[in-house]
Amino acid sequence: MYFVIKNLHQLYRRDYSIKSFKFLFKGQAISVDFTFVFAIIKNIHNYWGKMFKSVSSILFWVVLVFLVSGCGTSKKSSSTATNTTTIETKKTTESKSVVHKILKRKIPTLVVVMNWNDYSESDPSLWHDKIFNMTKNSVNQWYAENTFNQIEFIPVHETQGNVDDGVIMVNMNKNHPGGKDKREFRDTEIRSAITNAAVVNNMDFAALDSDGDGSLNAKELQIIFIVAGGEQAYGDPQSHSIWAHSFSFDSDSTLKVDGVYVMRYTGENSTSGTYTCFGANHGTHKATIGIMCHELGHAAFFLKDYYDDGDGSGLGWYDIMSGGAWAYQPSDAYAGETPTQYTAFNKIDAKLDVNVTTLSASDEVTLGCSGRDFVKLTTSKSNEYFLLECRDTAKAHSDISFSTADTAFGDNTLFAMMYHVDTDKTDNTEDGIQTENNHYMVEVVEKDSSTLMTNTTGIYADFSDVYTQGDLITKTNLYDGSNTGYSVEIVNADYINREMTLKIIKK
Amino acid sequence: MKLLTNLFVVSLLNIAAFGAPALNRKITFTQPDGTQFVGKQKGDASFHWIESGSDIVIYNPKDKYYYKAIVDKEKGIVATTQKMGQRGDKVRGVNAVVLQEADPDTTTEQTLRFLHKKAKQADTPR
Repeated sequence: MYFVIKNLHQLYRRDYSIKSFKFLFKGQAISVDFTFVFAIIKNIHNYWGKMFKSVSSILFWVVLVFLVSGCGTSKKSSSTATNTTTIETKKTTESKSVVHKILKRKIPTLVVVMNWNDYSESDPSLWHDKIFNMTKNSVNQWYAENTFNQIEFIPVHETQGNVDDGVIMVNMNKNHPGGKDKREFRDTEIRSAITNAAVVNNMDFAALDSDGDGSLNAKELQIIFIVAGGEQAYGDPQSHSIWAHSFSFDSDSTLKVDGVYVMRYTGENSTSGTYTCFGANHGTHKATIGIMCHELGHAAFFLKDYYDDGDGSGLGWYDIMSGGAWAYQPSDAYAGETPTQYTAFNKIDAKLDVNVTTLSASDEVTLGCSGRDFVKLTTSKSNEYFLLECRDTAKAHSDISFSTADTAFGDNTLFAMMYHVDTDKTDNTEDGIQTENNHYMVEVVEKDSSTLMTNTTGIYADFSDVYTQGDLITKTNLYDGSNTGYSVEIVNADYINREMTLKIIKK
Repeated sequence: MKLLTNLFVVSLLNIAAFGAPALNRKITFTQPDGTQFVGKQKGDASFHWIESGSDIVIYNPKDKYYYKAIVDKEKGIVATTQKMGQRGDKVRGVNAVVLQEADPDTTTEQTLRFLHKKAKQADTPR
């Protein structure tokens, strides 16, 4: 009780340094994240002033009572990390099970802008906005939409320039070393940047080691290196560019800052540190967010790549972990401004808050088309299954981009997609032609004859790939040719409630 | 020539496990002497190349020129001495997209795919 009173007192006295407090409730340790409350109150104090102080007081107590009372009604397990709350429920019936996980996470993030003698960036606010600003086209805005506000990259506490904007500018005191391979770039330039006085003197890395294991993992700190110059993946000259990537230092790395290991691979995702690296410019314009969101999918959630390596499209524009990183809506000026969503597979793989209805028998299911409800059809092989989802081109910053690739998608269309997953495969770099032994890990089951997988002409999404009301999906054989007995009918697309009803038939 | 070959092979391997996909579009590349050629980038941070017509092209970070290359399953993408966009210096008897004769059933596309996968698998933190 002492801590409750102390924390409340701090908060009410406008001491915003606290972000959460812990207490016992009905025998359970409860951790309440106060970031949201804190933001509201700070906003009121800063902008409304004394005139509305009484309003802010009322709002404060209303929100507080709501939060505390909510703790007693949910089955909740509290994490030791102050930025994480997990709720998990599971319902199972004879033919299906529904798994519902909620993961709320704020990931401390440092942006290091690497300036060279011949190429440099001068405006840290531009990079702050591109990564963190929720009101602009940013990495955080994309993640808010595509993870249903479950994931947010938050600026670390740092003291250079605009304090706590999360951006530190570093002068590398040399010309751009373009053309270096990434391991060499890591061992020279990345190491030099993170140990630069501008970083070390303006930030406390040890304070981020919330589990106290002496090493910062991917959830404790994300480091984004914005490299002044060009972006090779965009086609900029290698002489002054870097190819965007995600990486770690090896497990025998001795690189420590403030006494803790940083960006170190440990062999386990849960304990490994990671970083991402991007060119600051795409040709003559500033980098777009698509490949930033893509690489953070690797660095923060350990997702894989699902593009093909040049002679097929992998998951094409249907997933940001594939060509969707470069997607753009018709009104955009540049590629990558409006990247598409994660497919159902990657949302599940990233352990996002999604609803998966697992079926092994006939059933009828109504799915929301917000990208959160999926159907999994199990088969006789444990490594092979099908995933179904409904997608919506009216979603503001994601799937509207499909209309750029094919105008038939339009800007207000509900459509279903099905994926054939083989977990025995490791990636989508197999031959584009899908055969029993040579196929992707995650394949789009196309409505028409397969073109996406082998297309090399730049068509990354095609309305004839997807399913709409009245369609019957029958391409449900396993890769060895055996019949699963499944067929799926798109019974109804409800444009009022933005949902779709699927009839699954299992013979 | 051998030095050039080694240089390219080293620069194409041992790179990050996860990279952004290449933007699929035609790009005009400019050589240091101002000559230009048009091509498409393929691959990713682990392994990438340029396709220009029927030519496979890679970049030499030392002299900053783009060179025609041949594709070899064992050696990877191997540079010739022929700079893109320029005449002369052709390597006699070498067609940039013809593979080693020992494996006539293997296409350039399949070999590049093989090399890319190999590079990506090798390119993980240790």
